[in-house]
Amino acid sequence: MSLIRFRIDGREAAAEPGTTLWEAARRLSIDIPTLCHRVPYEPVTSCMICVVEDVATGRLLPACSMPAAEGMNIATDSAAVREARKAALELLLSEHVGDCEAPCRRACPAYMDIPQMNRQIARGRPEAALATIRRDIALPAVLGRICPAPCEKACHRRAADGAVHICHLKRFAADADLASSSPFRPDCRPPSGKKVAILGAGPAGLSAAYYLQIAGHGCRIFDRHPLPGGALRYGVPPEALDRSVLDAEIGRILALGALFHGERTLGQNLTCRELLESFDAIVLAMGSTEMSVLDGLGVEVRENRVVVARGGHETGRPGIYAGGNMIGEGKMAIRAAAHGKAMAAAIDRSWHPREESAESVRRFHSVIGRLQQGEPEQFLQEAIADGPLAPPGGFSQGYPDEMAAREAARCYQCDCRKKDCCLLRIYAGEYGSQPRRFKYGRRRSVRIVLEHPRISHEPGKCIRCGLCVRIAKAHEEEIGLAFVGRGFDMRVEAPFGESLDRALVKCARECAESCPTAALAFRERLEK
Amino acid sequence: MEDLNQEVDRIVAGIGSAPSDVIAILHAIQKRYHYLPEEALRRVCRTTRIRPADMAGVSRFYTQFRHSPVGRHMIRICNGTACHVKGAERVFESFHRELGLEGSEDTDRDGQFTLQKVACLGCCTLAPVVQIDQVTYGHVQPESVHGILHEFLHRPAGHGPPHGAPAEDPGGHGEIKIGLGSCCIAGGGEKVREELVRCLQESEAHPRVKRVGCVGICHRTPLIEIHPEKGPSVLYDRVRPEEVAGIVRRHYPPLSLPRRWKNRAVHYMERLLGDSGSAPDCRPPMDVRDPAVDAFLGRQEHIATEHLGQMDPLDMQDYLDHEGFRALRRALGEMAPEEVAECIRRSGLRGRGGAGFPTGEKWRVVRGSADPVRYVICNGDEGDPGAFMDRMILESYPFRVIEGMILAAYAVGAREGFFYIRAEYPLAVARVREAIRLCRQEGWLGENILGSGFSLDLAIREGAGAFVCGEETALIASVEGKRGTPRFRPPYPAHQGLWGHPTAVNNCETLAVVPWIIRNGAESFRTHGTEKSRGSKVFSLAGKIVRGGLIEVPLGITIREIVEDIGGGMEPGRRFKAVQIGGPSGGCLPAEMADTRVDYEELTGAGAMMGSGGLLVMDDTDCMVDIARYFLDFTCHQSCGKCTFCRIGTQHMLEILEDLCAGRAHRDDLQKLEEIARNTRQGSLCGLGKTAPNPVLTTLAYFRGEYEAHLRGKCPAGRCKALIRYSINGSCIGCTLCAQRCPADAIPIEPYRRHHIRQERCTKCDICREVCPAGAVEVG
Repeated sequence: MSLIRFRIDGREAAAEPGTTLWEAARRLSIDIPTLCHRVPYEPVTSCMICVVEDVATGRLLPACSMPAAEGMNIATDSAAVREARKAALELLLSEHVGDCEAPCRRACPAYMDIPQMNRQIARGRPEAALATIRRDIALPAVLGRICPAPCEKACHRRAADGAVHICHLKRFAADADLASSSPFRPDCRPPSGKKVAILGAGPAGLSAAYYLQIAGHGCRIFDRHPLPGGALRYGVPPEALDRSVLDAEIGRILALGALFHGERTLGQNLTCRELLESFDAIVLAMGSTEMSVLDGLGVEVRENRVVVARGGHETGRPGIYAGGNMIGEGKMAIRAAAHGKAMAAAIDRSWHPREESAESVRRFHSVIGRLQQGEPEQFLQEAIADGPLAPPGGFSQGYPDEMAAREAARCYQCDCRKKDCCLLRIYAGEYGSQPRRFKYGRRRSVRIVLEHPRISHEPGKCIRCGLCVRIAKAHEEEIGLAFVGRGFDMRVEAPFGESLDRALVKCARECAESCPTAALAFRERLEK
Repeated sequence: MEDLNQEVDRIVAGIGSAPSDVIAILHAIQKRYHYLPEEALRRVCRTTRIRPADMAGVSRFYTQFRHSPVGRHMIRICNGTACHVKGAERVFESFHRELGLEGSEDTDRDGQFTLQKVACLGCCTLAPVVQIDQVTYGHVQPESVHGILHEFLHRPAGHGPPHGAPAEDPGGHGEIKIGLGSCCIAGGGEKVREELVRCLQESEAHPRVKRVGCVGICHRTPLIEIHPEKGPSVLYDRVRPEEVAGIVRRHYPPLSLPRRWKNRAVHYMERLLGDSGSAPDCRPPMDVRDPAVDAFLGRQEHIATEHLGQMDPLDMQDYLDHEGFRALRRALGEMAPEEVAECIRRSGLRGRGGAGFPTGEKWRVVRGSADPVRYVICNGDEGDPGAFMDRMILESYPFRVIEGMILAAYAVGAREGFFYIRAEYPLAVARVREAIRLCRQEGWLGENILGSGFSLDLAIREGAGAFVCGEETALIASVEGKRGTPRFRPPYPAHQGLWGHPTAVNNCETLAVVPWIIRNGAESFRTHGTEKSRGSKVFSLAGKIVRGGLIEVPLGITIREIVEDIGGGMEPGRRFKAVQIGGPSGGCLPAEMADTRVDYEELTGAGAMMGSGGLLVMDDTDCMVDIARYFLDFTCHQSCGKCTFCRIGTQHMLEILEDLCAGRAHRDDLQKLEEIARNTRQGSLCGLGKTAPNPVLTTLAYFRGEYEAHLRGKCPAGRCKALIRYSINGSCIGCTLCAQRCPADAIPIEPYRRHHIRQERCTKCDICREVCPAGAVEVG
């Protein structure tokens, strides 16, 4: 049989008759996104994310089902295609009921994975929790004492019987580590040979040093005070923050190889020229300072703030970064610490653009918003019902082990089970979808069905692609799954009110793996 | 339980146990139990190859299937377009009130009635229409609901079914034709026929009483046409049962003197006792040369509806006498299959279902397939609210459509074919079923038809309430016993259709035209219509016009000619505002565009669509935002839910339109509405989704000012409930009628004084305005 000849993204292609555009593109290593199609199942043309443009007519065609035709000229990533995909994703998101990340994590300036920390503490593994914390927060014992905890204000449980004491749980894990005979040691990359000067040893500077050292870059921290800590030492009163805790945590950072130089003030006993000549990058994290001393660095200053790239930390001058109060974003220590981490990541990226950054990147979010009546009960299936627990000696003393585990088990765990692999989230991020663009009317309710011992079912996250229905049919499940109803109210259910564990006897695992969102997922959450 | 199992097993044994039988099985179970008991469905799964997942998917896809018990009687409120513009919503609310229902309850406390909104019943000229079980009520007003329920519960028993054996033997006294299409029956035609038979028995005259198909003059039903043995025929319109006796006496005087005396005496007494002012004896006939009738029929060209109102739908001899099966004889005797397809191709006939694909071309593709197994399907799933052409054609010309099917099957080489008819058309289903039986009996269907060596059998598949099944790939899925979801084309059904075999799917009007073309030749068909749109098209004309009904007009006629010449223009005092063409896939064209010619290309160019041929006329009291909302409500509920754009896009468009009608919309909502509409048009999988935005986009294009008024909280047409208020002006005579009838106690009784409406209680049911003798109730 003769081959059909056509073009995809300007490249010549040939395929047997009946080959779909999706298959043909894949053979050319052109990845066309799709939510509803999965080999080896028959394509059904449901999600419409896979549309491509027929250049001759301007028509958009679903690549998963459209067979290639002689002489076709297909564009898989034109402006019209991107716009249509974005719109399809936005429509799907408009009825998607689920938080990609828990609201506490979204509210955390350091974007710390709080639900995972809670789960680890609840399972009696504070050392694992600390590793989770330290991925985003370099000074957890310190912040566990002084953080105003925006995370707790966002907690879904706050409106019910009180937020989870996230900040104290963080302190619990950090204190346990400080007291441990075998404390947490991050894996540092081999030395890169690059040198970074950090001006200011407050939360921003210290955090930057911590993450730069992990990335293999040598740091020198300069501060006008004799001891490191900045505002943490010279601003926060000792009764709020025990200096021994501060010293211990700073000690952990310096132990990674960063060098501290006290009583070095830019413009007095430290010159711009010296910095520019001796270092590959400079971090400006001095908090409030006289801006004129920066003149020699060539960074732009406006209204007593260093001007940086929007949403970032790069100044106009390559290799120089600024954060914390120097770019003017309030006084919260956690925010300064987050800036330090972000500057470290930006510097590392500038040198190793291809390498995956260790930083947790703030990504696309689908958001439920305020919980409605009856919804807390859904989450309570996986959380203990107790109200907030207070340590017996008061909050100044911290939680004992057993109690910390119970408090952590109060967490609703509202982060998505597939936050790292949900295709809807990945594509929504890729196409710049605005999740609220088409939100109308009342949203559907959160439902978490835990009938199956290993699989969770969250109907509000279903995009009606029917992959699970097809998989169950292909495996000849006796009961299986069906689409019931139609149109906007169509949903996937086991027939005759049967439960999921009876409906999926043979292929539950494949369904959970194949579901493009977390509508079907493994109940067990994997640690990152 | 034992009983139920036996009953279910009996049903399955009678129908079959293949997966494709599932819809028929569900219909039968529902017929038996009035709903689908879960135990019955489980039993079917245990005893057949139908899987539980497929059973659940199918039974919950089609809206005709009910999963909870219902009252003893079903009240169906037609939600078609014509009924909508004539106030179906208020009628629904009135029933809701009368039955004492609250919220989303649908069955009254005694379990007597279940109230349901249903898709178009296809009696648009009688709007608003309500069906209680098998009894249809036309022109229902909120006011009359109480009376209807009373009349229904006290109706005399023993109304025969509206179909059955053909007419009685001729008795040598000429013939009386009575139209018995669904509209006529809904208009009381069956009662008139019974009365006619009764009176004729008394008169000792024996004219043949002949039931004929739809006459098309639906706005004047029921119709009786009397053909005396000698002399011209006489037509009576809007005949009431009590007038029948007078009509019969006029034409067939009683022969025997004593009986004549007796009859006179009885009628004299009746007149003395009755309070009717109009004497039934003096009922004047309708002048056949009545200028109105002339205008209505004058511009029409009857091809699909040839011999309109002349034939008994199920009398085979009658059909043969009217050139029936002559085309088939000719094709089987003189023409090769390719010649039949070629003749249709040359005629320029295009599919009458909406998209207008050349029929002969489709047949040529199927014919050319290497696959020897091929099918023909007649698409009778006319689901557009406001369209009833297919119903009328199937009810009135079942033999003609069958002949068209046989010709199609012969042309493409199919040995098997299916009628897919929507379940809302029971009369059409019954007549086609009987016609197929008669055709088999007479050798027009079966093995070796007319000794030609060509064999064909036809079967019926009933729909179950899904508009999307009018889309050919969804229709095929439904025939296969699946959820009626469309699939992407290509492959087109002409290449891979039913069970993967090449299939010619044609609309029933298309098939009804085929015999005419074969008989008269492609060239004579080409003399009708325009260059690109040949022939004629049947439209159901309804809405705010003087004369509604079923019309067949040459393509290329202008909208103005249809509305003004055939439809007789607006009702007095009203202004022609717009026409809606093509139902939920079509668009609203403003009066200024009335010179648009009705052909495939011109309508599409204007943003509307031929669709299957619904034509609804609107006047200045109709709100265009409300109409757009109405259609989106329809498509949103009919969307199969498969593809993202249609499933979610239609829902969001509906939500925005509902906000507009309720005065809750924001300025940027108009832009969003347009954005979603364009995305849905571009990205949807099938025709339903691709055309669903048309009502929105056309009204936005032609009536944007009305949308903007709604943003300001005003409904210029006075239609959107949330944006209007009722008040009583100085013409009030203090008769208290409004106060007595107000169901919400919103009007205090104040005899001889000007009444006033307590706005906080008013439900805007419109009853006060209807009952006010002084015209004192204002809406603003």
